[in-house]
Amino acid sequence: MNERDGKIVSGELAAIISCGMLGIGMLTLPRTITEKVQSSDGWIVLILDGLLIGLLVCLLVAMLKKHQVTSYFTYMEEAFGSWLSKIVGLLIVSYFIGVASFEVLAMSEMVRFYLLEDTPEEIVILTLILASMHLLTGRIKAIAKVCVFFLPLTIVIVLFIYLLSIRVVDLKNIQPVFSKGIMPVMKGMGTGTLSFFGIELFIFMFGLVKNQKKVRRGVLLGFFIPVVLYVITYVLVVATLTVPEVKAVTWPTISFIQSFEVKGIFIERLELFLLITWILQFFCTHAIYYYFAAEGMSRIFNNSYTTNLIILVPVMFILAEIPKNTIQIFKMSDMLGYAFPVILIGLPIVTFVIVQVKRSRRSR
Amino acid sequence: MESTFLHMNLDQSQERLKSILDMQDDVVFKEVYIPGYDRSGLFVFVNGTMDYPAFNEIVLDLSAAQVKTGHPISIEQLVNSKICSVKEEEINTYEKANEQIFDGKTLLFIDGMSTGYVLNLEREKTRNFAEPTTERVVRGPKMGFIESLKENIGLIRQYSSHPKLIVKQQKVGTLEKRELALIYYEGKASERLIKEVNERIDGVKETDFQDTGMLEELIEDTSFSPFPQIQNTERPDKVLSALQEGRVVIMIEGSPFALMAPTTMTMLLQSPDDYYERWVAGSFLRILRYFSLFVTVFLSGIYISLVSFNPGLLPTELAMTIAGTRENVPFPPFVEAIIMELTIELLREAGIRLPAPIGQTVGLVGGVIIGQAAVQANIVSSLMVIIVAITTITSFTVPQYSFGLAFRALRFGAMIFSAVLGLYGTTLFFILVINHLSKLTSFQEPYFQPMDFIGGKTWKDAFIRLPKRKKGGRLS
Repeated sequence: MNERDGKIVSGELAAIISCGMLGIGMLTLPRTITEKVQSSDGWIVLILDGLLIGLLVCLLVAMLKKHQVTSYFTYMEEAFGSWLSKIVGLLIVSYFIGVASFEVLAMSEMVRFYLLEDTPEEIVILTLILASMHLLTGRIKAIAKVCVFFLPLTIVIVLFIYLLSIRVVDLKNIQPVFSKGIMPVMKGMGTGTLSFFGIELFIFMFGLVKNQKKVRRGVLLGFFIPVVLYVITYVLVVATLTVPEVKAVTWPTISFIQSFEVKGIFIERLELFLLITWILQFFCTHAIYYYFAAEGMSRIFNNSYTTNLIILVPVMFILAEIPKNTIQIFKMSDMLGYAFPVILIGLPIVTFVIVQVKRSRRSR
Repeated sequence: MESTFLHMNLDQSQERLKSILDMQDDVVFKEVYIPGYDRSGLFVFVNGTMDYPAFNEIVLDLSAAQVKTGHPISIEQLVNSKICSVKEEEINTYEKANEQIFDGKTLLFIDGMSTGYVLNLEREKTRNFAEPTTERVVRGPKMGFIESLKENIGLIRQYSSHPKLIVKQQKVGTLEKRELALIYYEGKASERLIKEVNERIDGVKETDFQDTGMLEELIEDTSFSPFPQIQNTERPDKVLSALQEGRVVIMIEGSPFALMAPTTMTMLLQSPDDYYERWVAGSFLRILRYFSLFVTVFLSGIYISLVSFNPGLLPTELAMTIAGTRENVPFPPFVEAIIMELTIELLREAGIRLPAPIGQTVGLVGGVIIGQAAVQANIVSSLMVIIVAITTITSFTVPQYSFGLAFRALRFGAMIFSAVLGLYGTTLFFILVINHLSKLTSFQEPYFQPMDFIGGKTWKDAFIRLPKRKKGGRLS
């Protein structure tokens, strides 16, 4: 395997997508979904949404394959022309920057809440951004390796913690299914999609994959690992904490793990492990979005990638400083939530249609 | 310098040579008389490099030579036939002669002839092959390399008789020219790798190397890394398996350590006896090594961050115990940890430098007595002593000494990060180490491949070692 060609294999693609998706969502998703659904049927929402987006992903992969996209930015240029594509690209980049600073902000919030009460948040934010920059000088290959290393670690630790929690889980709390009818579930599906933040990245990684035939498998694998984890998390958390309590706490998943102690092992408090693995996941998500922002900028402005890495440090830092409290932080996530479906669904379809029309005209 | 041709007359030659070699007291001139031809010969060599038995044989041969009346032969023919087994070349100038003498060669001049003969009567000073001291195995070959390049290559050739095994030799250095050998399997090692290695060696040709360690530093990918990017070994079996994997081996005259490039982190954590023992044991030990690596670097850091930032995350009883042992300790956990870790590192360093019997005493005095006394004097807590002991023991499990050194140094980084940012700092340091490893390359090949563990075909031999039959009887 050559280090210099900058291509990744499908397994690495899956790991990057999974790590991109597993961020803040896992820790807050029981609350956000329950708030909308108002019952314990959120897991149905997750499964339905997962299947729906899974289908959509297959469609998008087929579309990108048909047009043999090697780089999404050149593809957009073909569709929109040079100027408009730069503007669209800039919007996408600012979305990436937004997500990146949001993730680092959410992490600093979590760290402040559970680990470092007295340390100023700025230090935590800045150190994480700098750590990402350190990684990103190695480009996509380095990210791929880190994700491939962290993802199994995360899965093993999370499943281990969940296994120990079985004792406190009371499945009666999520019964009966469809207690409030099907309508709330349908309504919840809109917000449910927001849990799948990160899946849109595969559009931008499409051209980076070495074995093009396995792209779809890689994307779907990378997508369904988080989906399965989300469903398990939702069921366990809501079944343990019950609907009203889930809605009341900020970090339901951590509260759930704090709700039980395991006797007989060296460490009784398992949230320690969850916090550490989730710092790793926050870091991965942040680094991945940071990378695509920097990469996108160098496509738009034709400047060097390293310069963009350096420029983005203060940008993300300031952006992460703006929200003052937890409520504002979640507002920020709502704003990003509006952009997410546009980038995942709207943009690729519009681009596809325009390119299709242009290409067929040319061939005629 | 203009070259001066040799004189025909032996006395003139001798005088000339003596004037050139005026300062050198260890150059020996020995005259020999060849009665059959009524001529004199002159041997010139450096004392101490000479293989005297072989020399005596030639002298005897020459002085016993008789002219056969039946079919007379000339003096040139006679000398040539007597010295053919050790003759290297013929020389015409004094400058050449001067060079060859100090290369350890013996010169032979015959009266009335304007050419001199260069004889290789060099006796190499080597020690015997012995068990390698740095990489011991319980089961497996007990042979280690020595300082002689010739013998080492002979050893490799003895085990691998394949004609595709290429040994390329060249001289490097300016003051002391030394042989450097590049060894690889043609067809197995990639063209790109061989080209890369050759380029890098060409770049440092002018340097004098006393050991391959110096070469390693000059040809590695980056100097700004605690991790060795080239593997070194004293073991022929390791070299052979590296060659079979398509890697390149570099050896230098005078160094018992062979360099193997490229290398990966997984390779540095493998010991040959993983393959010589049963696979269950091999896999177990390998997992143990990965685990101990983590413990070495992070245990003190985790201790510091848990005790000084988040005692609440510990089980209540354990937190109480720790608080109890730390009750009278006047220092914060970080200072306490630094004191103990530094002490143990000092002891290790002192133990290596001292002669073996005293070294052990120092270890005992340091480890047991200082540890005990420090706890009783309330300078450190007893738990800290346990933790330091564990991190030290685990750091010994790394099969490659230089790789283990890297982690010993990293431990202090982890401690500082933990002292400043608590558990978040420990995690951050972990992230930074993984970042660094992900970017590191060894001869442009990736150094750290986590895909080895979960994907591809290689996982069977990375984190664990599965039975060889499953791999088609091949060691990979």
